[in-house]
Amino acid sequence: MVTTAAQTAKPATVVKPRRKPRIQNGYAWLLLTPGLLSVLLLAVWPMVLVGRNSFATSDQYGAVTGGFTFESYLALFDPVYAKTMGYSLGIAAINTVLCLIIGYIVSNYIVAQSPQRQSLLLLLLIVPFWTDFLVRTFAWITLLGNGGPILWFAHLLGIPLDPLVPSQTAVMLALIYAFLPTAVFPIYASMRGIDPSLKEAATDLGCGWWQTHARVIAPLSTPGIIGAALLTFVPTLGVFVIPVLLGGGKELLVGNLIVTLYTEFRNQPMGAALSMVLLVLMLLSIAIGALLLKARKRSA
Amino acid sequence: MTSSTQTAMPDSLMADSRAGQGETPAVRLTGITKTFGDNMVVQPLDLDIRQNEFFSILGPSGCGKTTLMRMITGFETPTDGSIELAGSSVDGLPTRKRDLNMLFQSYALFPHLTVFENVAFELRVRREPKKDITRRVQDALDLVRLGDLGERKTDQLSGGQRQRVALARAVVSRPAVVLLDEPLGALDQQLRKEMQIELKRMQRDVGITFIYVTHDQEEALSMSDRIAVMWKGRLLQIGSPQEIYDAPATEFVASFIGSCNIIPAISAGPGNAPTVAGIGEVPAVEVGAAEPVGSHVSVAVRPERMSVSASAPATGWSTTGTLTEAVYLGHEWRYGIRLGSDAHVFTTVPSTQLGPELGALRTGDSIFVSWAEKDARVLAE
Repeated sequence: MVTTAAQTAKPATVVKPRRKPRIQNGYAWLLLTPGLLSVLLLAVWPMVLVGRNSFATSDQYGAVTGGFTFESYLALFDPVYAKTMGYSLGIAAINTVLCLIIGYIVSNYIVAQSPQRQSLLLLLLIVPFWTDFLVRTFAWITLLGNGGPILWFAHLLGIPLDPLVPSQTAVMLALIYAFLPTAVFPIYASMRGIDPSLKEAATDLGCGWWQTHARVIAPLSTPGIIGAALLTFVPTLGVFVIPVLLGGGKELLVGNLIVTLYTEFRNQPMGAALSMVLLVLMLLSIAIGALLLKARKRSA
Repeated sequence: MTSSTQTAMPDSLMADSRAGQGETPAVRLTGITKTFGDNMVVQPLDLDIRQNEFFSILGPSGCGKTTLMRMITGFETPTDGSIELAGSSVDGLPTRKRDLNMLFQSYALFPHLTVFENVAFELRVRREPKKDITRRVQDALDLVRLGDLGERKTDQLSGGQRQRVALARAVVSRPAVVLLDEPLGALDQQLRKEMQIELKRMQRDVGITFIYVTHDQEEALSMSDRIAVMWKGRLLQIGSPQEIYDAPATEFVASFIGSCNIIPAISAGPGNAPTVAGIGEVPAVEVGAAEPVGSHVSVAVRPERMSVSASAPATGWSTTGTLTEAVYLGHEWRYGIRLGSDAHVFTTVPSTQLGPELGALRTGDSIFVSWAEKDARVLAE
């Protein structure tokens, strides 16, 4: 879920080439076949299956028996599911806002550095991606948990601090940690394109730090900020490892609910229906982001 | 006339760096210095820029003129010295609190705003009343003759129009000083000439002190009330365009502004004509510090102040040289002449004044060269 969302999010920020590439001869389709096949087999076909299953009925053991019904979708209106959905959207929104704020500040810092230092800082942001996401989440347990360095240091200072795992705070921290780099990159890319003399011009025309950012730097970074929001908000909805490991599985996100429906409740049609709802939510937010960008471009 | 340091300005010219009694200068620099690492890009200097003056800082790239300007705006902090604007110190004051605006080389127009919004920017930041803003922005746009382009986006404008917008934005709040950083650099030749006249007109109309930084001597000469020539972090000379051109204080000023023949010579002490190897004594005015007898000096003569003839002139001083080249440039002839043992000079003769005698000369022939004493200056090396 997470990966397909990230893939579909990209076209929103990529500018379409003006001319269609001309196909030179009849063999071009041969070159396209491997890519086309893997997309059809690994992305489109499973999604079609999930879509089909979401309208199917199942037997007592969870096996899909066919048929066509809206039952699974209607069942999602149960307050329990609605609550999880609302909670997920809330967490995703909070995570997005925090990642945007921190990402903006970090990007603003990075673009002010010398080119060599910029590359180094970006590399440091990328390095964690070379380690598996699950391993990094476990690292947070060690960091925040009982006997971890943070508790040890707090006790050393005489601050009575309970173990942070499992807790909401730990979930939020790990979510920010997970999505901050994806927020930084698009904002950084936008900011790097801003002529440095614009900042000086703003200062010259009476702007302090806040006004310079509010009136010049932030508006000019909008494409990056919208891109960062999409890349953070949409995938956060699908996260399921972090709430389980760091939140104790008490407050679930949509991603967790889907996993539970499939594996524990063995209710495939409902799991599929919830997946489709999540997919629609993601597409919606991407569409909104794209519209925002388009509106901005038209006014520019 | 005496001078404490060898390369500093002569006292008579140094006096120009300070305004007269009773007048508060628009900008006063005292002992301003800037060092980057071990590199002193601006040597300690004093400078007064008068109110409502079109003042140019002229020098080759890397001479420190941009750094000097950026210290006045507050983008750079001087290593030493102090800056006053209209009589009060602005040391430590951030750029936004200094009563000046800058016209950036790249114009630095805000791409997300319209022409009107760009010009209104400062007034809005300073929270001026709305109805005032509309009127003042319109006035500023009218001043730069862009009155009806307010709703355009800046990327829909030509280079010349963008420049006018930048100028309107810089003057709309009526700052005491506007600094212009080589603003004509990006324009084509034709537009540059037009804008030179326009800029001068606007400066007169708005009555704001303009500090114009450029490496283009023609721009500086055509627009400025006064020019400061800067080289290697020093102000070599400050004066009106005529003074700078007719009475250059150093060899660099002489050769950087217009063209100039620099003839190596030996000083014969104050009041005596210097000696050029292979020629003997030549008429020249001694300026600034008198060089000791026997020291190496230069005699600087503008090409158009030299006269040439095929036969010895009836009166006055003259010497003979060898014609090395005669190039026809349409409106004038350009003659290259070897003078004395090791000097090469060139001179120009308007095509309309070329007599048959002079026209008959071929390269290798002897040619008589003369100049008036007042047109030749002895300069320290």
